[in-house]
Amino acid sequence: MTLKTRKRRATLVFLGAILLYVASVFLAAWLQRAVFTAGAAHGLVAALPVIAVVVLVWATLRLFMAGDELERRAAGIAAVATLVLFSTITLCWGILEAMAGLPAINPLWWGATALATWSLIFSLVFRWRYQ
Amino acid sequence: MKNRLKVLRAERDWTQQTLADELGVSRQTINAIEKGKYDPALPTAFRLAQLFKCQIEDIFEFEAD
Repeated sequence: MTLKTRKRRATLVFLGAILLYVASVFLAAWLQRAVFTAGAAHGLVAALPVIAVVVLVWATLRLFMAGDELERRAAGIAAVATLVLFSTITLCWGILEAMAGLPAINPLWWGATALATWSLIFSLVFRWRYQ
Repeated sequence: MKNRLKVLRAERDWTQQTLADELGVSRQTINAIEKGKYDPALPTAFRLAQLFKCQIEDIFEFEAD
């Protein structure tokens, strides 16, 4: 299998995993609101997206491994930069949320923003640093 | 690290894409190596040497900082 084919397949699986995660979050929220409104099932349903997260992690690793050595390096640099950036921002936000009354932000928004930031940093590293 | 990849490739009249396909890497990786912006991993360097039928030292030249 060529590099291009491997990357195309891994990207499709990754996008599918993202869709699965988003769908599982909305499904869990709907089930909690409309079907299991109380009891142990109410709590268990909240763990539904965890299964999708496992799939998403697997798909992310697959996408990472599908690239060649330079793409893997750029992806690694972008992942570390995103992690540092988002740990700092979320930590500061959390403190300000507790002490200064900043509004709570939906975790879905954080996830989507982190992914967009990673993509942006990856492009910058790959094109400007290595091309 | 300096390298003669572009010269060796040109001698064989290969495009960056041809070389990339032979090595199983992307064209961008070949471009980055040729421009000296990226030093390839050892297995890739060995594969390049095999492909050009020469020693690694004939392609790459180490430059101390």
